[in-house]
Amino acid sequence: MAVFNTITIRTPESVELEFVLAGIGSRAVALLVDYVILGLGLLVIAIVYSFLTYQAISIGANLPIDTSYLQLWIAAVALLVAFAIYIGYFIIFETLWYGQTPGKRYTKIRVIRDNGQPERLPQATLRALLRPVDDTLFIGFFCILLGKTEKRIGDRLAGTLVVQNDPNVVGQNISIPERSQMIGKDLDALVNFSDLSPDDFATIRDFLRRRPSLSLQARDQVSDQLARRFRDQLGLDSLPTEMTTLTFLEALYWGYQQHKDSERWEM
Amino acid sequence: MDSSATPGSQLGPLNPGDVVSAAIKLYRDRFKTYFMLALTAMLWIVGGIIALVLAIAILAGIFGALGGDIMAIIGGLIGFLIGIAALIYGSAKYYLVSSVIGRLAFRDLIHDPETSLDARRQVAPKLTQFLLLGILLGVAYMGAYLITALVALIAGGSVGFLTAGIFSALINNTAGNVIGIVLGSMLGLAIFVIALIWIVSKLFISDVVLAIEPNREAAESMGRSWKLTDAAVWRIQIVFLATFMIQLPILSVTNYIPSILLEVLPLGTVAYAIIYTLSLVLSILGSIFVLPLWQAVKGVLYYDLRSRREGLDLELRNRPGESAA
Repeated sequence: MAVFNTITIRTPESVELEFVLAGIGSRAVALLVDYVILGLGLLVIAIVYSFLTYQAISIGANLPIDTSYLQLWIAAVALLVAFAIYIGYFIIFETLWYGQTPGKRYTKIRVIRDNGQPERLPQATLRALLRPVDDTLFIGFFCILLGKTEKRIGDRLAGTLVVQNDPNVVGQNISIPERSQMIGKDLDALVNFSDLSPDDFATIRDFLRRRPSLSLQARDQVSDQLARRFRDQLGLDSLPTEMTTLTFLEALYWGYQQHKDSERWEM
Repeated sequence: MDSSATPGSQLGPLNPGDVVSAAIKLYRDRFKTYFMLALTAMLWIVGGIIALVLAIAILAGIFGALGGDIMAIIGGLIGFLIGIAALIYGSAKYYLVSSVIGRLAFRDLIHDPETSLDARRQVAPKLTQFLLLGILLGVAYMGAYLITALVALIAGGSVGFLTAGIFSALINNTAGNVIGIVLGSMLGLAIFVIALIWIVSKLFISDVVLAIEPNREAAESMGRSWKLTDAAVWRIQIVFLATFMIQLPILSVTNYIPSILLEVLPLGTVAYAIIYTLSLVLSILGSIFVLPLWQAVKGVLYYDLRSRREGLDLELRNRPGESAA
């Protein structure tokens, strides 16, 4: 059972792209972050507005001028500016950041067009203008919750989707100690690295990447378990030299990469 | 989020938003199961309360009929004791049944799904542990409440006094006092709220731990929840906020709008009584709807924390059909 909805988009070049939809949780968090930032912006407007109105009233009190029109004007301008900020915030960010706002960046989601291309000004504008409609009586919430493609009304009219950022773009390098690299080279003579699938390699990579955040006990436990599994899978009865299970996994990681590189050369 | 792109493979650690999305997806897919469990859980609590009221009323009535006011009071007290026992039993049941939802969510995530009946059978022998957990959590929260209140009072008070003194000397007495009171109470409130939220977050998944992990006892489950949530308290806050936002549409219909109506209507009218009864029923219904969401969030959070801290997903990867718990 897939926990996240996915969508496959076929581009005009007949390339199929698969996206994971953002999910209601991330969208809620993104909205919250954006509304907090917007709220702070609107607070500034409110402060400026009250300051100006106060000035207008005190002018009216000191000089024989009727300032009620001025006050109305200030209120009108303040309302316009507030509306412009509310709508403009989303238009500007989503256009400049290719479908992202600060909240969406934080939650690692982005808006794309139905054809998989980045969101541009027209889509961002439509989405922003329909946001008040979607916010009314949680209409947008229910559309996202109940629809298969998680589109609120703004998404439907603008022809956009909200998807998760491709996680493969980010990824820090793993540094492999020299001794493990040496053992990795030795292993190449002993085992056939093709017995490891790309999924197995990804498991080793993710373990080495995430190892620092694991608890001490879990580090040993997981590395023991993975090392035993891959040793059996590669048909190794014993290891070439005395080593920890962590070293063995690092050596596998290194050896597999080298092996793949050399395969690429041969082709 | 490395592996979520390929359906069916093992999920890795999740973003806070994804914890909530996953919980909602599980709730939607197993709506009937989760809802029935939540309904059962709620019936145990409501049943406990009704038993308490009935026990007091009946025994007070009988004893009163036998011999006057004093006997009625004694009867009421006996009824209270019996009723409290029923209520405690009901709350232990409530706790147990609702944590089964978290267990089911977790089992779905590790691709080892259980039926509701199986899960309840597995968890049922732990009823006394759930009772104990309820009491321990109650004591822990009460203790935390008192201690943080004390610390907040002392810290806020002393800072308030100091700033009041300083600003009184710098500006004047009135301004100094105002600044001191404002600063001191803000600091105290901040300490109080943050410390309480922190403790609630650290113990948040205790009941699901007790329901999922075999041979766990109440106190151990709390310790395990405490350990697993290390370095995750901030993320849990975001999970709380997102879950809260998502339950808002439901609760606004069932709980908030009726309570606003109650504020507007004049007391003692027929309309008030009708709305009051209706709002009571609606709010219970709302709670039943929302309970599975929170419990599923706990189950997903437990999975997330175990993947993050213990590499559970790495152990499970490429080995479908094997259980982790």
